[in-house]
Amino acid sequence: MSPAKVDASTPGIGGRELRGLAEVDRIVHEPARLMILAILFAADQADFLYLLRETGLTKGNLSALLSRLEQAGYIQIEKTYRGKIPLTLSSLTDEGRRAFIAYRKQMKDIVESLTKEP
Amino acid sequence: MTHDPVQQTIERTRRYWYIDGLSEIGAGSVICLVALFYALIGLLPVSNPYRAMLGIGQVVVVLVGYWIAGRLVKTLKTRLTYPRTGYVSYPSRRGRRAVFMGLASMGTGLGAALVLTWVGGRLPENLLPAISGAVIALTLAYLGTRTGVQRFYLVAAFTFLLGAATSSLALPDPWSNVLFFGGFGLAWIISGAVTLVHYLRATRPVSEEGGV
Repeated sequence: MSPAKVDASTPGIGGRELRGLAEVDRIVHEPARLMILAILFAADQADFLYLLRETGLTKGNLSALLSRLEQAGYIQIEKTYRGKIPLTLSSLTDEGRRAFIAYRKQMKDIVESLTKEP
Repeated sequence: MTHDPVQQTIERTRRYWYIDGLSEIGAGSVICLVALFYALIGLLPVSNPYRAMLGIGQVVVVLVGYWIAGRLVKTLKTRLTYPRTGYVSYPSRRGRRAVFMGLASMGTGLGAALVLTWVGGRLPENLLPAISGAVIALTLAYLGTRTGVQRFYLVAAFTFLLGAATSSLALPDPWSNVLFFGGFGLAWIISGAVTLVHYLRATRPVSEEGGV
């Protein structure tokens, strides 16, 4: 059975919910970036190694995603050293924290409205 | 337990502090220090003036021990944990929130101590370890639920049983405290040590780190 087509502009038959989905922050919505933001939401700072292990991404992919989040102003990246080993520390900015919280609320509202009895 | 992957990620990150068992070894060592002081007090004759001094010194040594254990845990984490599975620091409470949390913790601690003293004063003295065991077990179970670290439930169950066993033995003062705190501290240390061994076997240090 093919999924029913829903017109996002039509309120009532899931239209409002779909509009809500279309309005979510795309930078946060991408799964790998969302995972990074979730980690940094719980931590004050996390290094590259921790993020690498937790996300299961390749170094190149993780670097690209962190750069994208930094460009968006959602995270702050600090380069330092632990002894002789270079250390890349990431932390959530206030803007990033706000965006993450707003995204979570938005998604919760969408899921709740979709699962609500008509 | 939540099925939300985002919430799971948040909780896993919070749980990461306990991944190596080092904090439990640190806490267990301080508790064993308490037991050691009770043992020293017990070994001295009642007339010995050092007995009273040991009682007062116990508080100071425990506070200093707590500080030293904290520093040691941080140093060991830097050497063992962070090169293997990465570094995570947690938000420290600042400003008004820190003051509020500090006052709330002190109030809770003081309240619990008052309740224990009030209850203890109305019950036979040999029941005190059982009450302490039950209170500590409840606290550990709460910590287990909050952090999602399952082994805390085991330590909680052991502490509850240890308190009951110590009470039933009805040892003279301060030997019941030596048994209770010694057993509780050792349980923490063993729980932490087993976790540390598993962790060290399961992970290898990463020689160099990539960057952005």
